[in-house]
Amino acid sequence: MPTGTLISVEQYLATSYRPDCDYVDGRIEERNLGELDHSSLQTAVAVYFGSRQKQLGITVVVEQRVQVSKTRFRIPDVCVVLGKATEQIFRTPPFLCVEILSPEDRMKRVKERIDDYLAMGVSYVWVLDPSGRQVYVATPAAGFHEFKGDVLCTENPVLELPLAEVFA
Amino acid sequence: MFERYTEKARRVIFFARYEASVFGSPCIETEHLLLGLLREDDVLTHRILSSISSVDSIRQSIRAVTPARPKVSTSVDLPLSHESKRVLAYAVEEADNLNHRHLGTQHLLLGLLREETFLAATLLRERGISNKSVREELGTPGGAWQSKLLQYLESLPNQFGILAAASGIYVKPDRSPSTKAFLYIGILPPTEPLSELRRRIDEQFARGLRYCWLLDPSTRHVYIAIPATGLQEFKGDVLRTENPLLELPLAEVFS
Repeated sequence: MPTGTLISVEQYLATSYRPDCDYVDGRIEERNLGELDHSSLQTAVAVYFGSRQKQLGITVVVEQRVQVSKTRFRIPDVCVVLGKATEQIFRTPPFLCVEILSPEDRMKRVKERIDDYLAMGVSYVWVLDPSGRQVYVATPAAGFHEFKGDVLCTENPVLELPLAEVFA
Repeated sequence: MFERYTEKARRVIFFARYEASVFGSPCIETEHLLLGLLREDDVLTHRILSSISSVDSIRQSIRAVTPARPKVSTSVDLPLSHESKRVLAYAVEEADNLNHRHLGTQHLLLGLLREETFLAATLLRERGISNKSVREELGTPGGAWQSKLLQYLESLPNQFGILAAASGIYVKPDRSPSTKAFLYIGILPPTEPLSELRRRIDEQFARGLRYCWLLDPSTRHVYIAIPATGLQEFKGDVLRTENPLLELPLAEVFS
């Protein structure tokens, strides 16, 4: 349930939420998840990259707390870090954050999350919509835009995600 | 019955049932739906009601007009009242009229306001909230923004055809009644889910629209959509269409 009460970063970090919540400038923000379409796609992306961790030299985690600024914590659906992850709460920008849209996700809120990731220094944000099979990409250079190809790709290093593999 | 409901809308019903049991009501009344809505969707609540104190005052008002009854156990099955059933039917109509596939909290609010003679709508009306004001708040441009844009479009040398709809402005290449709009300019709907928005844009493209510009006055973000590239954020100062050429300096609408 959303709450209007402000809590401190320390209180947030000392609390376990089920499912975990974002923390935005003192407020707890619930994430829209829990439905099959969301969970299936999240799993598919995590499994795709997870099974290639050694080969690609990456660490793949789901629903990991990421401190995007002094007073904000976000929990990407899937997060990719180059090399081995060591931080319990990520304070170093991940290389890639993947967000899966839920039917409730509104543009403004999605964009706010993306902007938080990019401001932190995340190189790529991918937003996948299971219902419409739309895909959006955000990078610091190109901003937020819809992706029309078949294989999502990053540069330096190259990570590829064939959409047919996850939207199957 | 609730297949089209978003998770939030379903939780409104869940919380409404909880509120009814707290008030010891034998059924879920419209006021319980309202409390469920206020409890579940803080974004919508803050947009519609100016402060948390308004939420508290609504609860107090309900308490004042409701006979004191012992709580009902949450394990007891509480039916929806006839009025609440009508509210849900109105919500379906609202979603259909807006061509929204999912039924969300905004449709429930509009449904509540349509059941005019009952407590929920009365309480909202007493706080200056009407169906019209909610529709305006939930994404119809209206007011200064639309006037400013219309004025600008009318001032252009090309004689564009302009259709001001409730949700935004459609622009046609000329004023002939037979030509179709090539451009839509609207406010980014604050409560419409992105997937729903994207689907509606595709529907507009299928009807011949070639450009869709969505402005978010609160963040000054601008999004454009064209059939070839889909939806993307616009980072420049002047929005532009080709064939026919139409330019819209953002300073004209964001000033």
